Amino acid sequence: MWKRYYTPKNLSEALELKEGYGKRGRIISGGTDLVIDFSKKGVSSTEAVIDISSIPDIRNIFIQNGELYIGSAVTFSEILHSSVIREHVPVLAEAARQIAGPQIRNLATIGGNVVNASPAADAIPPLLVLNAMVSIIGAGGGSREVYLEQFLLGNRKVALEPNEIVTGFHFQIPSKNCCQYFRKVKPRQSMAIALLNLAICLCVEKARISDVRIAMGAVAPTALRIKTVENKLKNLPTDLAKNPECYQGVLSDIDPITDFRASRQYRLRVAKNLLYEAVVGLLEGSDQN
Amino acid sequence: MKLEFYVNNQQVSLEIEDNEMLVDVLRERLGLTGTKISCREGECGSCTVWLDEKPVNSCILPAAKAQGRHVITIEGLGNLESPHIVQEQIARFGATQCGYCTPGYVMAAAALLRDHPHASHDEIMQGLSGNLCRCTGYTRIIAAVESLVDSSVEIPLPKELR
Repeated sequence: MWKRYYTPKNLSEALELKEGYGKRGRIISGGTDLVIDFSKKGVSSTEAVIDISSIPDIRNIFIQNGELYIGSAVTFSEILHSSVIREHVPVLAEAARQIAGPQIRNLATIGGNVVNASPAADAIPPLLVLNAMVSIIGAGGGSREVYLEQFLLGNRKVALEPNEIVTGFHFQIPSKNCCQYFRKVKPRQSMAIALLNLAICLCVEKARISDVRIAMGAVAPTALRIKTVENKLKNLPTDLAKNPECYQGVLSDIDPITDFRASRQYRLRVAKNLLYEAVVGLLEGSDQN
Repeated sequence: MKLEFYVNNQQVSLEIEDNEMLVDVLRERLGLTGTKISCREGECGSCTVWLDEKPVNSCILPAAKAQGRHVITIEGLGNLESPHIVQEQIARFGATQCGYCTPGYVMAAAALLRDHPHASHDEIMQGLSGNLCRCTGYTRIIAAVESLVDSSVEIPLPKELR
């Protein structure tokens, strides 16, 4: 267990603490994953915990120049109840709704979910289909931005330097003629870790798929975009996209493991069937509009 | 470290270890043993308390997070002499057996009814989904909570937030 617990009031204080402690200091937000990790490992190398969850600068949701900004310390309850998010990015609101239960959602943050980088993290597929940028601040206050897709390096590995902190995410608000979709395959309704999760942002213009982004989680070391299928579907007339053959490509994009939650075979089959069902469902919905 | 916060509307100031969890501070240092410990990993909801009015799992909440904030425990909601209406309904419906999970359910249900006085069945299921009960099979807990929908439930608020 840690010896010192800090609750810095602003980012520069947090960065200073992080720099001072180096690897012995860990940034924490809601702590719903990390507190358990730190407690289980008995004598952990974490000497100081730096809690950034109440820093005001990273707790906002706002729109600027057609982009939606979400601070890294925004909780999943706040996402779920944000009228801005529900209106513009239902894919993220729906993912938030399906995370854990109310008590955890009141603490767990979107930044923590992404940086923790579980392959099954529910917030990541929606952010991937929104083509989100990750905003990062480093020692000395210098900031940089990186696409989420490039930020995810592997199972619980992200492209974050030791003295950096993720401050938030931002993305272009999808146009109104795009439909958004989130589905989580799970053994029970709540408090479950995804066996597989799927997010889609699909835009149809004049009976043709003008743009489509698909992301899946729990099927590879990181959540990832399903580009083979995206490329197949792009510019395709909607009636041709109802052919199951279009979705075969998902099997080459993903590489699921067998674990105690589900087998590789199960995940492969669910990935293909679910993707087909979801896209066709969205297309049929858009036919009626 | 020095922890200064409000517990059941009373200002509390005490010396704690930096790595203590809120549930341990409440139970061991303040003697508020109504809040239960079961899984200690945020899965079961037995340790549910309100932090600034929001239900949270106090077993995975470093007490340091409560600095300057308001915590409401089951003791702050009601007691034998003057039970909270959710406690009354749980008793009336026989929605408890061993009783260990009950304080957590009361805290979750009272927050749910406060925020959604007209909660639908689905909203009740969602609102109680962070709690586990191994005795009752849930039916009576849900019925007890459902019986309070559309009634005026009196929920104590921290003074500063009124």
